Amino acid sequence: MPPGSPPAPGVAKRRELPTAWRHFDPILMLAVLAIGAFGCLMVYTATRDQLEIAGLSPLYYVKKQAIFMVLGVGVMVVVSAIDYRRYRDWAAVIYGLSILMLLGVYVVGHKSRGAQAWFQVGSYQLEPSEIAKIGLIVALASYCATAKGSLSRRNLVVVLGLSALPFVLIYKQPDLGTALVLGAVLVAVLVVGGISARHMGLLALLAVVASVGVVHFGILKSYQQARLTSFASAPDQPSAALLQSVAGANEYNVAESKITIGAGGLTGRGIGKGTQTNLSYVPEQRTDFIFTAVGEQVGLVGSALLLLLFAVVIWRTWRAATLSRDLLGTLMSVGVLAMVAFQVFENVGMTMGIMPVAGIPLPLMSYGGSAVIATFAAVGLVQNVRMHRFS
Amino acid sequence: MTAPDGPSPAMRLTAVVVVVAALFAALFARLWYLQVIDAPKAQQAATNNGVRVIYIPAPRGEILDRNGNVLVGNVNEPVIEVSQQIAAGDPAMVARLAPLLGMTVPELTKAINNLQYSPYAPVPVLPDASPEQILYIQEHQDLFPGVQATTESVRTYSKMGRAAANIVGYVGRISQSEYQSLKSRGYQQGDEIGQAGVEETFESVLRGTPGIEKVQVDSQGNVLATLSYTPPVPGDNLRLSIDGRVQMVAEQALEQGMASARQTFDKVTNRNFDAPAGSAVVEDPTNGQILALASVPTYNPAQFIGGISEKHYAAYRDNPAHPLLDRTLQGDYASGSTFKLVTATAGLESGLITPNSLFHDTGVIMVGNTPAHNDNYAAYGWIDLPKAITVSSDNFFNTIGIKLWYGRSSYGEDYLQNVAEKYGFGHRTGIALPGESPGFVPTPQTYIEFHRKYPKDYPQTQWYAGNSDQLAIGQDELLVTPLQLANAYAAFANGGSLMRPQIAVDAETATRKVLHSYGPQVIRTIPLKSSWRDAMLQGFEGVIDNPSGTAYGVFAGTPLANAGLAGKTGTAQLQPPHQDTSVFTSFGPVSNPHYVVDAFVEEAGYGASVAAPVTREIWDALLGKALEPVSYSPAGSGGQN
Repeated sequence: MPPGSPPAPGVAKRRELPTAWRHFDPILMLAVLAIGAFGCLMVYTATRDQLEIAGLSPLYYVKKQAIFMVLGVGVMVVVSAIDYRRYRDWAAVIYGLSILMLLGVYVVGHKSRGAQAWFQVGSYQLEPSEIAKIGLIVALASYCATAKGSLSRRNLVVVLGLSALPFVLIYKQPDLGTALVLGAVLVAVLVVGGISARHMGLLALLAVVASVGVVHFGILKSYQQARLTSFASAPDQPSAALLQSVAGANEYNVAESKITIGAGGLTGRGIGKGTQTNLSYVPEQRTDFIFTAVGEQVGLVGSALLLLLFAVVIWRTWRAATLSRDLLGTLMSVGVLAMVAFQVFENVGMTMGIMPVAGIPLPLMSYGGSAVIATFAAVGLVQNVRMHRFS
Repeated sequence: MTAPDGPSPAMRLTAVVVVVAALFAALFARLWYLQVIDAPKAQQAATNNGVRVIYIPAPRGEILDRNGNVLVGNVNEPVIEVSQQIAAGDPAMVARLAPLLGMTVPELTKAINNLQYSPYAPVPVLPDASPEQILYIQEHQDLFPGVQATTESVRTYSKMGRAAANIVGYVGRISQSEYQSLKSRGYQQGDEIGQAGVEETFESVLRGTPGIEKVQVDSQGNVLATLSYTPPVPGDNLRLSIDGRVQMVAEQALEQGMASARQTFDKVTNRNFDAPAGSAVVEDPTNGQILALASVPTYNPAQFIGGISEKHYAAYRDNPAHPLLDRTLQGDYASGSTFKLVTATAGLESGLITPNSLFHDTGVIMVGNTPAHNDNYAAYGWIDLPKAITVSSDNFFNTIGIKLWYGRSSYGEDYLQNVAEKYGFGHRTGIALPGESPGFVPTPQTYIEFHRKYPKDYPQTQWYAGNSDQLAIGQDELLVTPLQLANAYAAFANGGSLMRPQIAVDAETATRKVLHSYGPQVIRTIPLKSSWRDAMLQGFEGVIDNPSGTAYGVFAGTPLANAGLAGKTGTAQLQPPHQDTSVFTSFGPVSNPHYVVDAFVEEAGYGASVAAPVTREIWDALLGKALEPVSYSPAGSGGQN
């Protein structure tokens, strides 16, 4: 455990701790660490056989993921330690930096699999869109809190502007999934921040018109359309021939994903005993499709337990939001809540064929440093709000 | 918190949480559906996903002659095989490999993507790789991932086996239609299957059982583990009744006989004999076992290994002598005077003649208003049955045919034909070789029927006495196969048992343990009184050992003249420009016949001229005499048919 994290109750009374740490949420902390540890196990089972075939260490990915976890916990502690009201003061800087990084990706970013989304830092990739999610949460919460629970039309315009900038930059990378996460955060912060019913209705109408327009005028790239619609047409028994086309590859992906989860049945096939996982029948399994490794190996019982852990995280985040001493803390927590809830629903729903394939990670489970660290930072923000509720 | 306008932030927050709870409920419901309700289907799909079954073809059984000499064996041939999976992902490797194999890249790619092979089994792309190519690939394995230089079991033919091509046949890749009808019996695309000869008819003995390897593969097709392995069980060996040595002699004798006929001038057509093809049969009359079935010209079965090339196949297909035809059982010929066996039996059985009743042969008889002459206008005077057979008097047998027709109210109109059928003519013998012809015995009914169906081709409306006259001496529309003729004489030789000709003796293991014997089969018994048989036998012996016999000149002066052989010449007459078919059939030794030998040579003249010398050569081999080259035997005085 990093220094400064809460010791067991009872010990706390004997030592003089900074006041704030006494109100740290151990349940949230344990839930997050449990998910992260389980995620490491899943990343390991999903990658070891292919690594061995390639003649690499079977621990290659899980080691890196564990390092991300440790770094993430450190970031969480740092983010919790600094009073969240200081972030409001720095909101413009945080937001501005995240936008600059998004722009920077276009200049010096690393192009991979058709998307320009990363900075290459040594052997690691830094994904600014993950940082931008946190930046937007801080920015939106800080701005909306000033409206004291009643957002005027002018407030609304500013909020939409603040959101649109990163949305467009991320969408253009192209990373439609993360852009949609920003949308979810925006809606949640607006609802809790005090948007009027009339404005909400207008906004909804605008969203519908924009969506229709996007589809109608072909603004979505064809592979994006394929991904968004493939979940509905995935076959029961996929054939490798599907992989010849973009749309087919997505259908194949979803079909294998469903088979893999279904093969787990009630109690799963056992850790390390899932043939679909061991034989890597699910493309992108260690990242976006990590939930299939869960479904196959630990079945309905284990999958439901994982969803329960996410529910605990959301519940504790909701607690922090309700306990917050001010609207700023509430909105920051709500932003994080929306981010985590949307990502879990979209990601797990996608692997089960009820949501389009949008390519976003399952928080703390999917392999990937930026997302892991950003999620820990977000959890740190929630802890922060809770810790500073009396001071 | 500051006082809100409208619903409080806490209430709004509750709304958000309710939405989230609903989303999680949806996830759980879907999870339940996939992992409980739909799980069996997914589990089945997952099982199918990871397991691949690879069939390992079993080496075919060997084909042996009656003495255990290998006719068809197996040999491991060098072959270059390429993994489809690896080739698909490594076009640079394919580009490197193509020039080494002397192929263009598109040619090699096409060869690799052969759909007849499982994507998990390596595909042979060069069946007869040279040692240099094999060595290069083995030494530069890093340049050719997924390529292996290995060996595969293919058929190999001994000298005897090549001489028996028409009998052993060949194997080829299974065709689409064969695959469709045989896949339930475990055949795979790309399997080899017998396509001709005993390779075809004894497929189930020779094939063996393919091995089955179940492997676990990942989504990339990498084989991770072998789940189970059942080794292939080689096919059983098949021992034929064929004597490889006799088969070779028979083929050689035919070739010599044909060659000498081609150097002989035919006075009827004013050109040398064409002698394009011939065939010979050797049968053991005691059990119906076939010792030789020679058909010339023949083909080289080795050209069919790994699939015959278009060029070679076209050469066989376009050859007017049809080398792929097995003339011993697919060739239809008029039998000529060899049919007198049937007519003699019919005459005796009907009571029209007795073994020693006399007939005055004036050299000509009147059939209606048409005179029918003996061959060469010969007149034999007073003759009995043995003499009639020995000299081959046409008039003697014409008369039996005509009398049977005129007396049809008491004998029935098919009397002669029925005796022919008892000897097996007009029906397949049932030998275990593919494509046998039934031959054809014309009857009054077939005349009427053919005229009704094809009035232009068959203008004759009904059967006349002239048809009986011709059938009695084996001319006109009668068609027999060399095998049928040998089998009919075998029945006479053994005292009247018509046997089913047998090609296989038994199925054996590699260590010569007999698994199954193919015993003799009697089709029917022909009632032959000993007085009848003795008289006919005397006649057939005279053909060879009586100076007036039609084949006397062929055997006189050779050790075979006194070997107790009997025979009958036949000359199937064809309309010019065609030349006559030379036919000879023989059996012996007469005290206890062990062999029947017959020979047919197309467009070659009298039976005594070519077919008889060919059979003499075969007899030399059978009786262990020194071999003499076959030469054309000039016609003597008198008839020669």
